[in-house]
Amino acid sequence: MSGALAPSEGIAGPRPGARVLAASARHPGLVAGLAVLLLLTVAALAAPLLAPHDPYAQDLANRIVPPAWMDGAKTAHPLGTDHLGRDYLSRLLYGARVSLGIGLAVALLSGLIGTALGVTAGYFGGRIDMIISFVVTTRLALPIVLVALAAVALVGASLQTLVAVMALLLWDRYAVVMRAATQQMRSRAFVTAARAVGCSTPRIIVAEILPNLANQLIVVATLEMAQAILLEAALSFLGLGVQAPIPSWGLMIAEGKEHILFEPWLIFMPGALLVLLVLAINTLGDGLRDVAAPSTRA
Amino acid sequence: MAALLEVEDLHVRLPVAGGTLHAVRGIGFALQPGRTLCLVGESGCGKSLTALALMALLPRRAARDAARLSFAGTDLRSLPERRMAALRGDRMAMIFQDPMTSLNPTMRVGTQLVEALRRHRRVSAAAARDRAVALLERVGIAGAAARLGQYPHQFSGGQRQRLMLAMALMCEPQLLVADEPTTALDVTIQAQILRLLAEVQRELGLALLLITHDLGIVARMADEVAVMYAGEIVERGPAAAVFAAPQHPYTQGLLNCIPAPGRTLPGTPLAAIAGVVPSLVGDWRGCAFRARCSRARPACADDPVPTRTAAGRHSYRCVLSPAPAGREAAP
Repeated sequence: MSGALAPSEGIAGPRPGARVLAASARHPGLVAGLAVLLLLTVAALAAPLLAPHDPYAQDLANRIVPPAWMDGAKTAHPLGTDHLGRDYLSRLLYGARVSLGIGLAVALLSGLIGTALGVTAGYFGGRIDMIISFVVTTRLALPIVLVALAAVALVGASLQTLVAVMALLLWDRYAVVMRAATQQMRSRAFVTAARAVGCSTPRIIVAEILPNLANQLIVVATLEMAQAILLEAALSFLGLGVQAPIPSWGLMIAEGKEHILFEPWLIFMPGALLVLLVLAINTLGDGLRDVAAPSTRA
Repeated sequence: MAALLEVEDLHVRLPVAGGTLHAVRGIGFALQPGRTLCLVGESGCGKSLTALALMALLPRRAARDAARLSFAGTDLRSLPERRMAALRGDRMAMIFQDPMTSLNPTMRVGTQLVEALRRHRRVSAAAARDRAVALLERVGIAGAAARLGQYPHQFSGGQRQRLMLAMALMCEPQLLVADEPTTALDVTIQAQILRLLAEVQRELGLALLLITHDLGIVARMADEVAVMYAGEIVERGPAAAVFAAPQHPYTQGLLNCIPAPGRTLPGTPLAAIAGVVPSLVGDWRGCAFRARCSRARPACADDPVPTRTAAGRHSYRCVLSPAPAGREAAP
């Protein structure tokens, strides 16, 4: 039905989003976070074009070559090689794909679960709310790493298992935020007005309430994505996440820990990228929250 | 003419901390097509809950029951929500107090108008859009076709109430419930919206249930008036009769509170009804107004409070006998 008025699109005034867009452009943290995130995303997407070598190709003659700014560097490997002689720049680029891909997939999947539960609890209230709130409380009582350990031990480690386990563990913040936001929204006059013109409950939830929650949803999603990326790195470091030889920053840190005393750059580079990526996403999320709801700015 | 809307012994109860709030206590009225009934009373007297009860839009925890609640021959008491939703917006429509929050801020107004029609009728998008344009023009929004693509924040308060009215009229309802439709608006805009409401009502033969606390609006708009106090209708009848010869001490008090040029001297304190509305939590016996009434007597505490007839269809609930016409002076 929303397409019904397509012919009038041309004469429409600015969308409410225009204000948010203008405010976003003036927010330094948001712009910086977005810029870094975009840069890393482009690098990840263009990894096959940018990477000088195959990230899986081993070259045992050239093991642990130092990066360009140190003695003994080789021009073929600008960021050196790891303990199997694999090109470190290529592996870091491909590792960005793993981090961003898993972060995005988990943020989306857990967002689906958490939003469905939160909106249902917030809209219907009563007994349904009680049950869902209890599920959320139960989920909060589960230690994530231990549950992930058990799940991986049970099913076997793979990218799919990792994403599924993380999506099933990280939806709580979505549920809590969406429940509160829905409760607030459902008492708004336009929801009653929509019921007064005969809108059905599913229609009200999808067309009237959800679009008004988009701001908060995006903010939670960015923060959740950062958390998912960190958790992926942590699980991979523990050997429960991404399995060798797939390049993941967490796994690269784990592989480099043997060399922490004499070749610390092996840990430093993936670690720094991880910090940079999570910092960028969190800064972006904070910025979005400021712009979406200026009154909550600390 | 047969009544379009008939209500008898309507109760609305809300569970609150410390008991049950009897917000609406056994009210009844009837509304004919093309007529205007004004439900008037102060804040918290149950008039908005009455409106929501008719539309089955009460908060979930509120309980509604009635001896009779019929709309165009359909018994609304046991109507399942699905069929009630089919009536709402189609044959019975409602507009609300605050036009600033009654429209979805993330949806184009055209979409909201078109949706109101297509929810109930099988019409093409183009036909629905044509009707939206025609109605927007009718309610006085210039350049209607262009404005359909705009969002609610691009309209002023008065324009938004016009939009709400247009949306309510999309399906040509028979009954329009207007809950304090002008309270949130400037006085000049109020007058325009009321005039528009009266015009539209005449053109479409709408039955209008107008809820207000403003006796000035009642005097302008009402054919019939029902005065509510503490969840009860204490006086009802043709507007002219009620204004000419108010019988219930509460109605008399309300009318005395209106300053009249010439009669009210500048600088003198305005008249007011002493006291506050009683709490309606728990059971209540006798007349709810007796604590504030200057003519209260022991019989006022007895149940039931007698319903007396002043003249014709003009009735009131009080132990006092009918007084002759002429505004009652404060004792």
